[in-house]
This record gives sequence, structure tokens and C-alpha cells, in this order.
Amino acid sequence: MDRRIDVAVAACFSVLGVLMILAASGIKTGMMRDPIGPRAAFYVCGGILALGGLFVIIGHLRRWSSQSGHIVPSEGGDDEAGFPASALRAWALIVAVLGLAALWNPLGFLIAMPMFLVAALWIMGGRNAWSTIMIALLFTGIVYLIFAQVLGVRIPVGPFTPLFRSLGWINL
Amino acid sequence: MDFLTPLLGGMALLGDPLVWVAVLAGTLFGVVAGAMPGIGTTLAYGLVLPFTFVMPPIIGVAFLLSISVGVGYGNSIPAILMGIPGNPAAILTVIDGHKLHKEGKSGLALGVSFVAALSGQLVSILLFVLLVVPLMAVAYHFSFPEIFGLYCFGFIALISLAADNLVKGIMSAALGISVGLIGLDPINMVTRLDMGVREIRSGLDDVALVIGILALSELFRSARQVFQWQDKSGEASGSKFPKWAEWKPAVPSMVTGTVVGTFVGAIPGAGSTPAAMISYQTAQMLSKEPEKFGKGSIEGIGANEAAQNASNSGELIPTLGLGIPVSGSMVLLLAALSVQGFVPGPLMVKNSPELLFAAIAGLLASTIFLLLTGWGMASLMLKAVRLNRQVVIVLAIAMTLVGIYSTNTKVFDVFVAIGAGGVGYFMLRYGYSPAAAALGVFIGKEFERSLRIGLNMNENSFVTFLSRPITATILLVAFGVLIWGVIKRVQMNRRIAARAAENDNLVV
Repeated sequence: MDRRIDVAVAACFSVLGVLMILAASGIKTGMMRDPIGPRAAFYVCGGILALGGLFVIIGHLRRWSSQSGHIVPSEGGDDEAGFPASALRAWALIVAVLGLAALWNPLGFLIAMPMFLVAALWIMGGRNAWSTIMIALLFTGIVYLIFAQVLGVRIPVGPFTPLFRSLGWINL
Repeated sequence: MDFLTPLLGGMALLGDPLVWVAVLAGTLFGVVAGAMPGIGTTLAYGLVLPFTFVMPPIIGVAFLLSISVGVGYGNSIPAILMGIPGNPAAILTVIDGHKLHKEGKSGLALGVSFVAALSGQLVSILLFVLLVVPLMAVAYHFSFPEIFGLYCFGFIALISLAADNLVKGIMSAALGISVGLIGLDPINMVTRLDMGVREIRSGLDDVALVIGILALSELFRSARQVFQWQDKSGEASGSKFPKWAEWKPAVPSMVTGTVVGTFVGAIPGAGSTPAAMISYQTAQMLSKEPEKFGKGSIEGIGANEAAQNASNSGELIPTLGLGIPVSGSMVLLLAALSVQGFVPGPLMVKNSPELLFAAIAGLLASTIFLLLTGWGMASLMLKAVRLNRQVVIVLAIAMTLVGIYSTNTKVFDVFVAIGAGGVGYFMLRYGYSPAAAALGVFIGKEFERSLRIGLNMNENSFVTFLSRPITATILLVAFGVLIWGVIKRVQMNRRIAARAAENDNLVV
């Protein structure tokens, strides 16, 4: 684990704690008063985050010179040994997931989901176009049938809405 | 009504073929729903509720409760094999079960889960029948101060989830609690930390948050690497049901989980998540090897799975007996009964005892069905690890998002889950505990609510609040457990240090 990133993450928690306390001070107290009040929980949690973050940072700074380099044993979940890891791949996947969420309503599930699946499988190293497209289409179709048609979950279908409505498949 | 009447009534209903048809359908649906990340009992109930309106009440109750049993067992499968909890109560199964799976001991983890889930369910039905009358009387006296006391136990469990770095663990819990508290204040109903965003005025969706923190974060982390599961856990595909000697150490924790699950499940406002946490904590306290908890302990899996399933029976006591729903799924069960013309309340079962019989029949029949077919289902799911890992990760993400969307049909919830997943990814990478954060989301809200409303009900006096007999007893026990836990933790650290010193000496 890179100690500098660990310090940066702790600093983020610390700043978040301070911001939480500041934001909590603006919460209206309301008409009914009680000994705890609506702000107390955020003050406590914000304080823990701010002080805890500082504690982690100071701990690292104090040990900064005791070990060579900026790498310390990881306290987090380790990657599987023997296989190269790529943070870029994980973040690319997160961006693809955000894209799916953004396109969920405008394009509809039946277009956005296969697009996401093709993109995500490509990010994960899938290079067989035929199988990738088949997986994307089959999964989307089956999930849509189960959730929308069998279970009655209202899943947006974007440009297919008029067609599905005329076929009586949806009542939106 | 004597103790045997409900049991005999329930068994008599097992002679009705329609009950069996409903139970088989419900159990299968429950197992499949439970195995799908993001679909818990509440969502599963919500999805099939319209079907129950056309069923006779007895069949409907048996159908719904068989779903609970199926979900309780089904959610352990992705928890162990994929590290994805189907619902918050399965968080602790992930911690120990997935660890065992990674070590190539999938069969042992699934076997213990199978035995614990079914024995916990079966024994809890008997406990339910034996204790329903006296427990109904106790549960009736539970109010906000008593529920506050119960959630104090939850905080002790949070401490046990703090992982190696206690400060980071407490910070994780604080983050989860504060995020869970965003939204309406429980006393004044003023909005808190909504940042002017209309969608979060009434709070962020708990399911989206928890699934994001736990499931998506793990999936994002898994996406860092490309390899096939066979390479790392080839033994899993040939796993067999573990021998008695292998799962025997988990039996005491299963007993603990069953008893705790039934009692905690019966308390309004508690449900399967605190039941699982408290039994896990208790099992760790009583264990001869507490240091293994959180690192692949079969005792941890046994306690958690038994408690989760036992809480199904416990939840029914106040729900059917008093008309007080103790969880989201129980709200839906009462909603289904209301549509059928029943009036929820203390007199409901007295006037219609067949509902109690139907509940017992549903629980009993689905347990018998899983006893005969459950291991086959688990073995079948073991073959999942032979699938292309990259495809499974991508489809699991997609399935999780569909499940989250289906809860409220809001795309905003999907964004919340993705945001929580991103934060959880960092937490996983840098030693913060996503499990503590996820439990904080649930515990913090109810903890604050029960404390503040309880104080209001007791003239805003801490003395009156804390001196209620049941509250004081629960808090004293919680304090005792905390002290015991600290002593056990110190002993555990000393043992670990001693072992490390021994190893050093051997090397020298």
C-alpha cells in the first residue's frame, strides 16, 4: 500500500468530517426540542471522521522516517497474488456503470444495458465480438422479460415505448 | 391456546396439496431471489405480493413465509461464492464464507451454511411454537427505550467488525451512520444535510447504499484483475458435503444463533440483521478460537446463518400475535392480510388461528423441501465458479443495478449505489471497513430514532429513560458483553503476539 495515498484518503475523511460539522450547524432545530437534537449525531460522526483522519495522518507522518520508501503493508483487501492489477480498469468500469445509469431513462433499458455490457466486457478483456454481443443481448432480454413482463417492474424502454404500448406490453 | 395446538394445526395443513404447491413455488423463488445480489426478502415479497391477493389467505401466508426461508438460504450462496451479500444480514456470511471460498474450502462453507440455515429454521419453529405465548407478552412491553438498548448491542458488533485498525473501523462506522442519517429528522421532520437536492430530502435509500458499499465496491475491486477462478480455487468445483468432524465445531454456534435469532427476531424493530450481528458477537465471545472470526470461521457462518433463518420464526410472533410488523417483509405480509380482510392487531390470530397454522406449515414445509433439495442447489451453484470470471463480474454488476432499480424504480438509487460503490472501493483498498460502514447505515438510524423518541416519551429525562427495567437490563448485558469482548480481544492479541514470537524464535 502506498503510504502517500493512504494519507490522502485519511485527509479526505478528515476534511469530510469538518464539512459535516459545518453543514450540521445549519440544520434547523425545529419546534419540538429534545436533549439530543437533530445536529448531535452529525457533530459526533463528523468529529470522529475529522479526528480519526488526523490520527491516521499523524501516525503515518511519525513513522515516515522509520521505514524506507513510501510503501507499507496493506491494511486493506489484497489483490489476488500472481495476477497484475489495474486501477485504470476498475475506474473505467465505474465510468461505464455511470454511463449506464445516465442512459437508463433516455435510451431505455433495452438499448442502454447491452451497450453497457459490451463496453464492460471489452474493458474486462473480452475480445470475442460475437460472444460479447450474444451475452449482452441474451442477458438484457431475459432480465427484461423476468422483471418487466413477469414481475411487473416498470423498466423504461426509451424509444420502444410507443411500440410496446401499442402491443400492449406496457401500460406507461 | 396451548402450546401444541399451533404445531398440530400447522402439521394438519401439510396434508393440503395446494399448500405444498405454494411452498415449493415460494421456496424456489426465494432461493433464486436470495441468490440474486440486491434482492432480499422485502423486495422478493414486494415482487410477488400481487399474486397473493388472488390466493386463499392460508396459501398466501404459507407462500410468503416459504419465500423467507428460501431467501434466508439462497443469500448465503452468492455471499460465500462471490462475496456479495443478498441482503444486510448476509454481510457476516460474506466475511467468513467468502474467505473460506478463496481458500478453496467452498464445500465446507456451503455445507455449514446449509446445516445452520435448516437446523436454525427447524429448531426455531419449535421454539416459536413453545414460546409464542410468553414471548408475545414480553414483546408487547418493548418500546423505543428497549429498542435503543437492543441497538447498543449492534454497536458492539460494529466494534468487532473494525478489522485490524480500530481507528479506521470506527471512522468507517461513523461514515455509514452519518450517511444513513441524511434526510428527515425523526422528531421534527426537518431535513438534514440534504444539500438542497430534492431526491434526498427523505434520505438515501438504505438498500442502495448498503449494496453499493458492500457489493459494488467488491465487484469494482475484483475488476482490477483479469484471471479465471479455476486458476485460484479449482478445488471448489469438486467440493463435497463436509464430513461431520469438519462441521462439528460449528454446532454450538448454530445453537447460539438459533436461540438468539428467534428471540431477537421477535423484538419489534430488530429483524434478521441485528439477530445475525448479536449471535455472531455472542458466538465469538463463547468460541475457543475467537481470533478466527472474520477470517474464515465456520463458527461465524454457523451463528450467522442459524440466526438469520431463526429470525424468520421470531419475526412472526409480534407480527401475527400483536399486529406489529418487525421488518419490511412483515409489513408486506400484514399488507397482504389486510387486503384479504384481516385486521392486524392483538386479536387477529385469536380470531383467525388458521393464520398461525399456515405460518407454521409454510416454514415447516419449505424447510423440509430445502432439506431434500438444498444441497443439490448449492452444489449446482458451485459450478458458477467455472464460468468466465470477467463475464460473471460484469453480469453481477448489471444484475445488482437492476435489483437496486427494482426496489423503488428510481434511477437516482442506482447513482447512489454507484457512488457508495466508489467510496467502498477506496475503503477496501486502504483498510477501512465497508462492513462497519454498511451496518452503520442501518444501526445509526434506528439507534438515534429510538433514543430520541424514547427520551421524548420519557419526559426528556435520561434517568427515566435508562431506568426502565427492560432497558436497564439490556444495557447492563450489553455493557457486560462489551467488557467481555474487550478482555477477549486483549487475550486474542496476546495469543497472536505469542505465536508470532514463537515463529520468530523458530526462524532464528
